[in-house]
Amino acid sequence: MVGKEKRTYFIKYLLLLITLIAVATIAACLGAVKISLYQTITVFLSKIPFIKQYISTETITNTTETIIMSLRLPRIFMAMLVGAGLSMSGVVFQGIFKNPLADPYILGISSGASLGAALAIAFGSQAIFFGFGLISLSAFLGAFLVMFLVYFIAKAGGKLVTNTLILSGVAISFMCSSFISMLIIASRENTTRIVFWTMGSLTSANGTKLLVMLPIILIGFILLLAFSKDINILSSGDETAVSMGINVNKVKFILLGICSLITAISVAFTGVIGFVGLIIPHAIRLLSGPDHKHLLPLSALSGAIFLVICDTIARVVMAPTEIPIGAITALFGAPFFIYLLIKSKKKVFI
Amino acid sequence: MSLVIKNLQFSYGNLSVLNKISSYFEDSTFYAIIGPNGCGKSTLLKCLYGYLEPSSGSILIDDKNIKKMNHKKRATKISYVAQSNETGFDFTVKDIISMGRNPYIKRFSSMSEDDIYHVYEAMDKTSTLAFKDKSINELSGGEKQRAFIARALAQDTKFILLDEPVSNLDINHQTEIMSTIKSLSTNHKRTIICVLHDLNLAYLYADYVLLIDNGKVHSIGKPSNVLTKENIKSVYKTDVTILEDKNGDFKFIVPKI
Repeated sequence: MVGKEKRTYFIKYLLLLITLIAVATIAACLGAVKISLYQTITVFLSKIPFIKQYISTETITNTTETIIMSLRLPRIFMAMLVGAGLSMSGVVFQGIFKNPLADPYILGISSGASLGAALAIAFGSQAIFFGFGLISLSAFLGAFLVMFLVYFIAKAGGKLVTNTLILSGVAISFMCSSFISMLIIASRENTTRIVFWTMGSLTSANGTKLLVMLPIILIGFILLLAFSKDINILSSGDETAVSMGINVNKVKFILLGICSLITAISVAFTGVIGFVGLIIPHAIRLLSGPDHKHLLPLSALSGAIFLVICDTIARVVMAPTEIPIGAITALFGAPFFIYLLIKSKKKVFI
Repeated sequence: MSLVIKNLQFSYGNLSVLNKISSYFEDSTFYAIIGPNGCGKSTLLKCLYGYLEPSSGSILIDDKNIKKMNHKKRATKISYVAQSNETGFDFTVKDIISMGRNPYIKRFSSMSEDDIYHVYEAMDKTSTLAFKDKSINELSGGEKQRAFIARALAQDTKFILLDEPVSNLDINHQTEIMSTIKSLSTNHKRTIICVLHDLNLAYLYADYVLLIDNGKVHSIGKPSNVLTKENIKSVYKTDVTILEDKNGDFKFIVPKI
């Protein structure tokens, strides 16, 4: 029985991993310049130690290699990291708040980031600090300010009350949105840029950003996984969780902190990409059950796959014009999720 | 193992809920805590397992203050079955009961053979084995309650606290669950501290009754000594008749209407 369960999970992980690699490889072929699958795989293999000595790159032009390595791969990796990060944050937010509508943006992190970005765009600075644009830095700052503000409000009574947390997040969100509306009116020439930023894009992906994101996502993932049993138990309510030896306030604080950081950095680099963090956790819970020990890694993998697919569609379908990725995630994700909801008789949330 | 409460006080803001409660809980005994709505019964339980922190006084297990224990350590001594249990996600009954082993399992490790043994033993004692693979949300009220009691039992603690475990069950399930709980104290050496509303259930099952009024211990002792007409009148402001059968070993409390 136990052995069978383990094997089922092993197969799930293996399938998702293969899908992820396959999707990434196909994504690297597609774009304004068509590159054959053979060429893409050759370029990939020529970068892997030990294997590369057996690979001949004679047929590959420098341009092809540059397009794959400098333009497409950073974007694909960024999509993976952001997709995985938002999905696992979504899992945890839904688990802690026991609310099916919870997603990584529920505490207003996205609107704080949007306001930060909108300010930077409106005041038109193109300055670069440590390789990051001012827009990213300002967005990150906005996300962090909102995060602290929301925690501060919710913590006011002493205990971290989740409903107060959600409501103060919503209130701050609306406030930020009002400021953004005013900014858009005040600086009409930047309206398009602000609106596009809030719909998300992976265009600006580069090596530096990847280097910043990778450790945050990776360490965040391991820490969240370390708390997977606690998240399971938290679903029985705070009172019961305390009686089973969980330090509820401390655990919630740590989990929210990790997820907020992951979300803040994702939004700061890529804008507001909606839907992934809401739907992937639900879909995986429907398909594979509520145990966070597996829900977290399976959601991370699926989120990575989903976002690579969405980003590829975003840049390929109307090339050379890019569709904002935020529009794609919902357009293609929603019908799939509705299909899952109808097909599965299981209740996701009670 | 002993559980001692000394001068326990608790208040929500300015509202004092528990006022210098002192008591002693013996081994392998069934205690019923009774008292009118809002008298502080549930608050007392929540202080006992560490959810609420008393403003003064102490709770000692084997002379050790539970305040000085960390969450996991405390959870190996006292378990708790809440009045209304949230189920949240679609966990199976076995998953839910396994959560009771949390205080014994380190991060990143899974259940040991010993843990699994305790889970199955708990399911056996509460007759929940038959539906262990069902989703907790598919169970009836009585079955659910048995699963939650099994979870507390899997936690393998000397003291089990229950907050009105049978308040919304029919008479058949009430007796079934109360008998299960009773057997834990008589056959399995657990000390049961159970908040009850139904005075007759307290009569039937409890070894000792703790009558609480307005945050204070009004009286404590054997059910027949505590559940008297006079005490009930003074605490609940209700006139009752106590019916007795011929031998005097069965009593039934009926309000006068």
